Amino acid sequence: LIPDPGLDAELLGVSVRLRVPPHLVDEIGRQLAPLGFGGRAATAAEVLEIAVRQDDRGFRATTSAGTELRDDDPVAIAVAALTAELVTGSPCFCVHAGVVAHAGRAWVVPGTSGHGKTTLTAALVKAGFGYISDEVLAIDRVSHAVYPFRRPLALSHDVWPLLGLDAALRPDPGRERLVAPAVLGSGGEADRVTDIVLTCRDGSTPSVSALPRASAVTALLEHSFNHYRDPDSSFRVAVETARHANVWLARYDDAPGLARLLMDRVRLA
Amino acid sequence: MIRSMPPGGEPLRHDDSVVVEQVEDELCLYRPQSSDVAVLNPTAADIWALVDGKSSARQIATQLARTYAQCADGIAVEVESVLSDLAERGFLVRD
Repeated sequence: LIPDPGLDAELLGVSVRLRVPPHLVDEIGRQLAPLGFGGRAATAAEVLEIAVRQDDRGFRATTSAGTELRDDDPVAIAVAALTAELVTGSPCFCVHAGVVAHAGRAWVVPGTSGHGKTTLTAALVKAGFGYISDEVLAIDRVSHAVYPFRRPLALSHDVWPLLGLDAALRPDPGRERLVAPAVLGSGGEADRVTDIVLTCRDGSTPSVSALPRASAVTALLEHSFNHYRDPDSSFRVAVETARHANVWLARYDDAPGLARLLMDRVRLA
Repeated sequence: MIRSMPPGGEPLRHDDSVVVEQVEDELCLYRPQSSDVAVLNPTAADIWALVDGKSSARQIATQLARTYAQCADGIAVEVESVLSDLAERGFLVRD
């Protein structure tokens, strides 16, 4: 049997090969290029292989944990499988968070799914921050460098007009559509986490106030995907990250309003 | 009566697995088994520091009252609360 073609990338400290049906390799490669796919072939001794397969019900991928993912969009399946594998399997300390950058500084918004993290990340990129990830803050456990994970953003019907996206491409109610990061703004680069934003979406006018740094330690560990892989190191990375960051409490109602406020602050800083 | 102390009044001690880091004025405790983090303000951190496996809650309150030049009865309530919380979460244990 000849294996499906592979798309290779180095992501979150892991060499990844994505096997996809031959007729989709160009399309998936193009859409996943912001993540780093489409470059040279993986040369690492150990490569994590993820296969997206097509059958009469659509597309599917099975994670190493045995979970079967299904969707009618092969890119969505590839993104979901990559995310599931990497946030737990990466050697980095991985935290559920949106991450953006400005002037080499990484701004982190920890949070769980369904609480507006992707919407806020998208709004921050629209406001001028550089995109690093809408899903994971990945910190090298030794150097504390931040790894990008610039996957396409899954944006829902409701947030489409909030972000001023093309109405013709708006998904149906209750559905999401993947949006390329370049549609929202530019990619970001940052060496270290400098600002951690703990959000409270309570309907307030957007406001930002300083919090004690220790409060970020709790937030980073509570939202970590893989702290259990090395609990001691995870705690120390969380502490070191918090020690060197500004920690903010952001109250807000609409994501674009908070994004504009944060952009105004960094421009004035 | 100090609730954190059993009838015999055995003192509490730090659980051996707890990892401790100071972050500015606050003390962060981490318990790997439960992935639980406790952030202690300076007063709670002082209480934590006085837990030595020998001192009773009353003795800790007395010592803290001396440090803060306050009445031990007033401080005992806070000592009780901190010890109870940390013992319930496994940061403090009894032999």
